Amino acid sequence: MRNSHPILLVEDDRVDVMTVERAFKDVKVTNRLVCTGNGEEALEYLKTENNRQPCVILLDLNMPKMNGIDFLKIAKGEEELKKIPVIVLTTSREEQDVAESFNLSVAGYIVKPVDYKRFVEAIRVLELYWTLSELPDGE
Amino acid sequence: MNHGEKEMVHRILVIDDNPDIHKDFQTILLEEEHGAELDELRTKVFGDNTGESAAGSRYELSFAFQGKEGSEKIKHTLSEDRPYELVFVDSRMPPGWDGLETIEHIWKTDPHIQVVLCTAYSDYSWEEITKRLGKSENLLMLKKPFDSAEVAQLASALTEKWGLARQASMKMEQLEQMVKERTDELTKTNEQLEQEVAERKRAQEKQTELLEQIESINRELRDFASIVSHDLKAPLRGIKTLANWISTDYADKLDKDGREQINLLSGRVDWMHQLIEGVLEYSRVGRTKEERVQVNLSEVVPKVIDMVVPPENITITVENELPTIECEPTRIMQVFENLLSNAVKYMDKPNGQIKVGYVEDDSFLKFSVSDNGPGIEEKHFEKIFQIFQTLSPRENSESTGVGLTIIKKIVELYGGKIWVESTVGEGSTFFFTLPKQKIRGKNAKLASNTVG
Repeated sequence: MRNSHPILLVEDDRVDVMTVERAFKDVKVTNRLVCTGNGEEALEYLKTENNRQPCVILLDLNMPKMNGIDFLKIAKGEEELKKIPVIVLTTSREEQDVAESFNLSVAGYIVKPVDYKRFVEAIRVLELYWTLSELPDGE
Repeated sequence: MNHGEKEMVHRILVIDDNPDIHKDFQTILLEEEHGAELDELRTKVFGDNTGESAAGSRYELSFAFQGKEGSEKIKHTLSEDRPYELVFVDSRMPPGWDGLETIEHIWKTDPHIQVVLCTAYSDYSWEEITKRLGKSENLLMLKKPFDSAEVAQLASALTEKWGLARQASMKMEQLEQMVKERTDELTKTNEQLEQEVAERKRAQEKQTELLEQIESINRELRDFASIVSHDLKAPLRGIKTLANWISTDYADKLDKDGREQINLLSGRVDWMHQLIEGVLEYSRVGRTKEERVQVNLSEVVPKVIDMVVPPENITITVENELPTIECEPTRIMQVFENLLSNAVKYMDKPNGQIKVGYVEDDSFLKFSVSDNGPGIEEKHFEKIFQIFQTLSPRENSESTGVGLTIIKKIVELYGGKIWVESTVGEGSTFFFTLPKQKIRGKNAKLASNTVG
């Protein structure tokens, strides 16, 4: 991505975190990846003053403590946070999850491919898109 | 009437302290009876039917000298169910009760009895009488000295009156009995109805309960689908990814066996992933709502054939013109797609022939997809429609054993049936029916909002 803002990953599965980290390396995404394990931790990061606001949030839906949908309900209700694009990255193909996510203004919804190579492709497309697209000013 | 015999004899009581009076009554009333006998004789001899003077008038006379004695007689005969119909009561009977007192006692015992009060002179005024006895239709006064015709007429008229009153009261009783029977019947019917209403109410409550249970089971199924999709797929993806990394990151460290094992591991993960997707797909049938529209199968089936992409050695033909039916387009397409892709997948002949057929009878549309593939042994005809049942070896097979199960579910949702007929080595034909009632097949040319 063009800017130096970090990318926030909200994901509880360690292998999935590793997958994203590895894919970022393979696609040569230079932005720093900030990893949080659930919605609560993500909000805590976003609300801590000295932390740099992320340019994009990658959000898993099925997580302990606070799941992705509940995170979106809070984040999209706050002036400072709602402009940050959120891309859902999940295993769920359930129509209800898709509909609810878009109702909460997500920028995209990607079902995690089982195959790593295809996962890398997905991250590559994401990187391309967010390089092409303008982003709101962070600070 | 079963009283017939009794009705013929009219019982009369005379209460008078004067034995001469007794004799007079006997003479008057029994003479008349004698006359009746003469009449009968006359009828017999001359065949004359006009002798009506004594029709039915036969009396049984009893006598008492005192009011109390008379009252006792009345009590006694009443208890034997042989009541007096008429009583002549003298007004003065010293030393005992006088006429009015006697009548008071008599009516206490039998209020239906007809009474004639016989007076020598004006013993009582009518006012006095009604004052003591109350107004009664069962009381007459007879002034002495008697006119015998008058006595005979009174006896005849009053016993007739008594008989009629008795008949009327019996009719009344009968009517009351009938009313009671009807009322009982109604009450019974009413009770039955109430019981039925209660039973129906219970049935309805049971039904509501069952519907709630079904609803809750459906909810559980939905939850199950989401559990399967999230919680089973996530770790699986992890395994797949890690296997992939091991095989790339440690390629130089793994020998041939190691690489083979990693490949097998990876294949098993793909397999399980397909099974999970199959379960999800199966659970989605009937869960997802789709609008019913007119679907022209003549246009839809060729499109499905294109989607299946048959290889060059396989020809798929539609043998008859297919109808337009009202249904969910995705579902019916899935039925044809699964049947056709199965036929293609298992084709073992160099020149594969797959045919789509259609016939119609009174209540059903019957479709068929037949092939000249390997065929299926009869013992598997049922099994292949069960979930995860596949006849091909699991190794390297694309088949998960979900496709036919899904078709079966769809066809059954429409109230139809699906079955297979097959000869091993020659091919199989899958038949499925759709009831006309459920899909209201219309003429293809008339359909306006047709999906095709």
